[in-house]
Amino acid sequence: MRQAMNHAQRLRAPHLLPGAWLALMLLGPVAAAQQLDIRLPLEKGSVRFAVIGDMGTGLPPQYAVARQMELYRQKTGYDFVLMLGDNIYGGHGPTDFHRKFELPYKPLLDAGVKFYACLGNHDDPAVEIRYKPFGMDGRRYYTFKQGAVEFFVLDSNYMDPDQLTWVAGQLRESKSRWKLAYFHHPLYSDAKTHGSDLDLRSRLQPLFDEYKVNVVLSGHDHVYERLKPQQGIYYFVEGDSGQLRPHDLHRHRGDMEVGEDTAQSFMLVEITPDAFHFQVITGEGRTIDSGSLPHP
Amino acid sequence: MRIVPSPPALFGLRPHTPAFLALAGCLWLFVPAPAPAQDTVASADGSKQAVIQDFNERIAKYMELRRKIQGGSPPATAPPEKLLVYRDQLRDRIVAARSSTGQGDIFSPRTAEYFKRQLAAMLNGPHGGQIRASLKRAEPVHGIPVSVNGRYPPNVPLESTPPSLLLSLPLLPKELEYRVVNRDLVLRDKDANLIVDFIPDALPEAQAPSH
Repeated sequence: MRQAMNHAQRLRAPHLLPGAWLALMLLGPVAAAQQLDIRLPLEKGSVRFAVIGDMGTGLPPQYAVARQMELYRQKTGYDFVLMLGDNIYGGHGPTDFHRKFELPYKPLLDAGVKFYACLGNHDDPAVEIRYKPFGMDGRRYYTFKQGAVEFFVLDSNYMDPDQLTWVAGQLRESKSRWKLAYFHHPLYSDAKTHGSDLDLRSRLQPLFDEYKVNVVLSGHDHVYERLKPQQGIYYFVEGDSGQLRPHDLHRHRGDMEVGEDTAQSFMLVEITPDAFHFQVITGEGRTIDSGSLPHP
Repeated sequence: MRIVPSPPALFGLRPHTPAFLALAGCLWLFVPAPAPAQDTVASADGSKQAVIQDFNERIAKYMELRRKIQGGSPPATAPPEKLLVYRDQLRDRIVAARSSTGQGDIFSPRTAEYFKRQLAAMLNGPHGGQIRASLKRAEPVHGIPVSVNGRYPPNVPLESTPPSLLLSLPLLPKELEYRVVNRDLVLRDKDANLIVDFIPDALPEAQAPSH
């Protein structure tokens, strides 16, 4: 605990960090000794990326997850990261962006990894959509493609008629084999604190069903959860890449396939033409869920 | 689901001009409502069209003033320090230009009454339960001071606005948004982080989300 508090105190004054401390923080004391447990097929030509949500605290657990992300990047070669919102908690000044994003993910940024953010309720939209490393280019919602995958990045804080019209049009026109949507508030969640957003679900799920979205990723609840497929769509909650709300999951609800609420984590994903392969790894390097979900 | 045209698609009219907003308001009147409760409101208020038109004209007036003083649009990308300076400068200019403005400048008493009835109808209608649940799960904050020309407190999360509520309210230019703060409905200028106007206690007390 004392070590963790010292860590946090030092992070509040990053200009005081000596080089040795910085190296220790970014690489981690266990990095060299850790055996990586990679459960992805690593097929040639596949689309590989990482997923983080509710991460922007600037506190040690975020850094621990970030260290694992870098270790796994070196072995799997993923080259972009999806951010599920609450990217920066609290203030949004330059030191906040440094301490809560640029510093923890420095090895990834240095390696040329791109980030694609959506907005959470703790984010400052006017600032974050224009912050270049978040990949939003001034837009609240947008799409991008990687190989056979099209990503639909939505702003669930403010799902106004314009955005609903836009997402319906984008989904209708998409010819991609895989359609993946992500946004902050989960349509399905078994967490006690927030849970499923039913109003948002009533507006988005009909579109996802009609236009054959394959995978939906969200955060907001500070847990990891994989839901049983809903109308053939795979839903995940990954809202604990910095924050954590211990023991927040209802364990006996019918929709949960796998849930974890005792450790911060990130997702590693590989999409091949026929399957969505995933692995969820904690800040200590433990794999808590993995599998391959077939293309419907 | 009620989907309306996005602003750039309105018959070639430049977005957020008085003509655009008048046309958007008229179109909005003819879009089928998502809930029977809305029809009740419409039939009970024969002056709905006049209220919406008045509201749109006030919005257009605000946007005209904003365009005159904003000094260019913010860049698509910029460092946070520049964006925060831009925000403060924009807010200062708007506040200076609206120094005599008070609550009710955009939401006139008649408009406020109409909005309150719309919100009550939605919250008491068939979607009411899911809207209240959505508000509750949006991590609402309380005790936020709300005043015209005030700023929304930095570092405090913004409560998300349920899509069904947004579908029941008139369209806004992209620079503005509706937000629920406490039980008030706030009209917020996004880039300036400025409270343009608000309706106190817009959400009915009995239907305010419990925490």
